[in-house]
Amino acid sequence: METEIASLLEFSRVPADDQPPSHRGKRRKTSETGDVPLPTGFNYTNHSAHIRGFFEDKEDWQRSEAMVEKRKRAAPGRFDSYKLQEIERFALQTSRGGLSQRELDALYDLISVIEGTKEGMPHDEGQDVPVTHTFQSAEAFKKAVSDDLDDAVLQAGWRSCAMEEGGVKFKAFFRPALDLILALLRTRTVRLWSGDDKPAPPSDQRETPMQGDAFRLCEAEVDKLPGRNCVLGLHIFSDSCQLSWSGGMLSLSFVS
Amino acid sequence: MLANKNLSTCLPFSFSLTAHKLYPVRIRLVNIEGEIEWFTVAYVPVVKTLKEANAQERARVRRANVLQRVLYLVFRTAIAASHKGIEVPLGGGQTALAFLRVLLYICDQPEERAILCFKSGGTAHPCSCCTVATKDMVSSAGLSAEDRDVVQTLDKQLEAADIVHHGDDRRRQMVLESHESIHSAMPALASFAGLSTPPLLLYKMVGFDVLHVRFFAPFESDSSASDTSQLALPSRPPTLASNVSACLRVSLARVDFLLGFLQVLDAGVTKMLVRRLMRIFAFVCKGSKPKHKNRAALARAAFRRLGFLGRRSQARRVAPGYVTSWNGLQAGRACVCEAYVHLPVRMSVH
Repeated sequence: METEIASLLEFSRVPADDQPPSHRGKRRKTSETGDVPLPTGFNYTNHSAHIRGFFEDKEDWQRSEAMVEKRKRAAPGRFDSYKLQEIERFALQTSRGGLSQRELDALYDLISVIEGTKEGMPHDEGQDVPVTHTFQSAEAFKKAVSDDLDDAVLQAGWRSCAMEEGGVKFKAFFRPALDLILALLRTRTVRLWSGDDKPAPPSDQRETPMQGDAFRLCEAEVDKLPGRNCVLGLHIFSDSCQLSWSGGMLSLSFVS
Repeated sequence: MLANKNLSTCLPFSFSLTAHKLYPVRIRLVNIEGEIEWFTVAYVPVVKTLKEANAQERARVRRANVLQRVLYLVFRTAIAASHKGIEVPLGGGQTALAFLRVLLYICDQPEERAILCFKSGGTAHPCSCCTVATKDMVSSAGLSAEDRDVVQTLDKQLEAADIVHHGDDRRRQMVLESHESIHSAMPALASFAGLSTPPLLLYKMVGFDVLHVRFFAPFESDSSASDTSQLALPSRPPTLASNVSACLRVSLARVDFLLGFLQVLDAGVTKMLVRRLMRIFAFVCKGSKPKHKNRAALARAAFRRLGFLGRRSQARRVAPGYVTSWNGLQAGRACVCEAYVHLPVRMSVH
């Protein structure tokens, strides 16, 4: 995909002949260098290439990096028994405001796991090993949890990107949607066509998104291309009025 | 180590404890069979208005640009795949090419304008789907407004964005902005195939969620506007009684403005709107059989949903599973105004 994007930049645009006039405002000059070099203008083959070229030129992707950095000598995976995994899960899900009724249930479950009395629980080799043998100090325990968490963040493909906009720096967290979609295609049962193995004939049914007009229209367009083609429909939900607020009261560091 | 799936469910929880103000963007693949699952793909930073000259405008530009840049980062490779396709195994050694398409973007109306890079208030063309003029929104002339031309509008947006990028011809930029009610920015999602290429769904992809647009709440619970046809007629007929549909549109367009500017409606304001709209349902749905036997019963049904919202409406703090009943939005909507008119009908079909 990276090659495809690189080739897009190379072949879908040519530098524009009619460069904008050299007159620029006072703000574009610096005292040391005189004029700020003018950005190159391009002529594009289509709208999509134009938009993608515009954003690729910002080089946000190139500047992005893995969201967390593994500490030196990180050793994720030390919660290697059922008992330890339950303890780790408890440590991650307990809030600082005290345990709620639901969390008390979880605590009871945890205790029953530690004691080996929970109904239907698997009994592996770690069941009889005391937790304090695996983690000989609280520090070792904390680092092990942190390492597992970092590892999970990295495996999920989360990245962070610092970007500057209007003189203010922001940090965004994201993961490429395509990676997630490919993972879903591998792990879930997927229906590729609105019909059994081809686009369904027109109907008045509107019970699932795959029976919607938008999906059918896209399917009709894709069907015009040579070969067997199908549509993967995406719904996007942006919860802009719900902020994931914390205020930084609890310091949960990803980087040790 | 914990199974990755199990631990990854803890991740959003962990993020919410960091010292950032962010809001999530989630996606769902509609082709997946079985239970509906939403996956968080980005946390967009919240941009505050700083104390500076022309602070509001600068904050708006920053907000729009950050949103577009983050969206592009998330969908960068997906956009490439939407044009080129990805190979999906069919079994028996056969493969098919799968093309990604965005069918629905669920958000609130201010964000709709930000996503599409349209001006959000006080503009000549306040509707994202059609070219209805502000003055025509309160008359029957609004019914015949043309749909926005995706290609033409994008042309102008890209030209305006290029002007900003190069820093020249400010006058031309302002003309483009005011004439089309657009901002000089590039809508990142427009580079998705299917949005700026046939079937050109860019301006039809946005759908409003029940809790993003509080106005829908009354319709949601009583299931159809047609239920009210046998209600007592109002003492005074609507101003445009000869064109009931236009009249409804008038009322709803005003609500639309209200939502655009305030976004969150008080329960009290919403109730007032319900009571006013009930008066014209009798005209709109003449000839249909009502579900509720009188106006009080209808109001009770309409307000049932509001009971969950509290005095001031708040977004839910759980994953957006509550949009599942909104399959009526899957095809996008024809128009801001028409969506309001037709949505109850659509819902009754489902």
